[in-house]
Amino acid sequence: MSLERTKVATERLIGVAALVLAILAPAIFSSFWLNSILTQALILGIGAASLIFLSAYGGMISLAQTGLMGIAGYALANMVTQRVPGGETKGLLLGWDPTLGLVAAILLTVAIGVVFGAVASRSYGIYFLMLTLTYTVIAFLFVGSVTLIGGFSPVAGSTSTRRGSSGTSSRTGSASTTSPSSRPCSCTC
Amino acid sequence: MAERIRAWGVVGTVARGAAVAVVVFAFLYVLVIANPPPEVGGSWRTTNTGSALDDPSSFLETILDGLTFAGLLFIVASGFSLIFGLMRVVNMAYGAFYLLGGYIAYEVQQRMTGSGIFLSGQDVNTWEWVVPWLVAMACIAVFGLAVQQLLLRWNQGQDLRQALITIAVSVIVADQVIAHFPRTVPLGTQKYGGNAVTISWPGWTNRLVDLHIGGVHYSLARLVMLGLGVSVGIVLWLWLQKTRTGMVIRAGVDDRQMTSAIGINIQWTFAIAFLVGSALAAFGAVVSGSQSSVAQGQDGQWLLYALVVVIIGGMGSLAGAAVGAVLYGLVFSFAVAYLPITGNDCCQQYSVVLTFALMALVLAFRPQGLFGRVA
Repeated sequence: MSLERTKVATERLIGVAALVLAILAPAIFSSFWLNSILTQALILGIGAASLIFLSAYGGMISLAQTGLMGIAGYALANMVTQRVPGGETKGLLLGWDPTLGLVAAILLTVAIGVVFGAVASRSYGIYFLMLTLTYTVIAFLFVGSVTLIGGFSPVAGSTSTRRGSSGTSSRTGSASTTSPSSRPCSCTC
Repeated sequence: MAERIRAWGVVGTVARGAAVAVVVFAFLYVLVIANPPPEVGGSWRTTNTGSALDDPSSFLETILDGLTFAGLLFIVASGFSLIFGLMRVVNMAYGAFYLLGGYIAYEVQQRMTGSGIFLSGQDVNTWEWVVPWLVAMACIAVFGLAVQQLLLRWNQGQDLRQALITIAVSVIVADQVIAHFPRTVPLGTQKYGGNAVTISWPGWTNRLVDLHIGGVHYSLARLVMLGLGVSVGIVLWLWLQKTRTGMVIRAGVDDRQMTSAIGINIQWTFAIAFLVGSALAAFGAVVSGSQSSVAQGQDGQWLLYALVVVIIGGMGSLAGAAVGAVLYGLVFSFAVAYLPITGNDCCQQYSVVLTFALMALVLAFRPQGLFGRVA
């Protein structure tokens, strides 16, 4: 019992330490650490959390998660980027408000995820794994072949994000970090 | 099973009704609804060739395209299915085996014909295709066997772990292939980096055959591809049905523990199956590289093809792989030929979605695939 209590206490301590670190991070770390490592870690962590949620509570080990991450990223990139006069443009360039775009991209991805899940829901174990891998590959090939929404190269244009510190005005990064993450089989690169 | 399907309830009935409607519509579209392109513009009814009634010979050619592509799909998918059927290993590295095999065959062929020139196709004799094909198959068979013996053998029975191990192998191998291939390239083109390269068919396949049906002249190389697929099917069937090794493999598929309990060395059988399965990946790569090309990124693509074919057909069944390959091949070729061409960005590039549609359709009626047994 006391061992259990020690474990819980340790976990809480680690949690609090991580939280404090996350809050203080912008003050402590250099921009390289912030942008290239910590932000990436948080992004991948969200992806991993979805996988853990599915496997721990649903018993489903899904390889579709990276595909869904890619879909959401492409959706957001297409929704919020705008046409730049004279610049090279690519993608739908809807130029929506970024906050609206965030919500819409998540809703769209959830809708697609529901369709995927409905088809896969009756398979399990290794079959589920195979089926969800095909989802990721299909998503990858889809965004690659449909040049209307960007193709393999990133969506180009500018966003109207009111990002303070990290933002140059044309932040195309939202899409270019997306394309590799939807690559099948390589969840992290 | 019946209970689970009934439990699916109203939603399932509606979904299956919609699925049937979509299939009926697709058939009608191809047979009568589609129109050939007018002088200007186009609508949802406009396709490249029009319907089957407008242009029967194009329709026939599309069917042949589908069947010949199915031959290639079957070669690749049967190896995947063989490994899965016997060992319950989902070999996610299969696409990487494919890619490596294709590049090895290309290198060998370039060395044989004299490197650094664009081959014109007619100059390649049969041996200069057969030897690269054999070398690639041998290399990948040995490589696959090494992966199985070193990484998979001591994780037997833990299928998720094995799947994750093979994913790791696939990432490593695919990236190494990009780093080291193609080595022999024509002057002025970039070495390494996984550029697209083409293996040449033997020169005698480079002509059209008159089929005497509807005035169709069809590529001999594609017919050879279909022939190779059918041959692989027949040889595999004879091997599994008529030889002692085949019987042991089938016994292993049915009941692994009992098979080893009566004194059969199941490890030996596993090794043989993995050897043959990996060799088939390279076989497919050489054929596909001859017909189109070998390039980076195809590992994921061909893993998808193999997965879809065995998911449709049913895991571990040879007949399932054949039927799945034919279905997928036909859907693939008809999608390219008969998706409407309404504007600059529509709609042929959406053909990959039909892959998902086909899979969803089959799984809606048979969750275990067409020939799969309920696990």
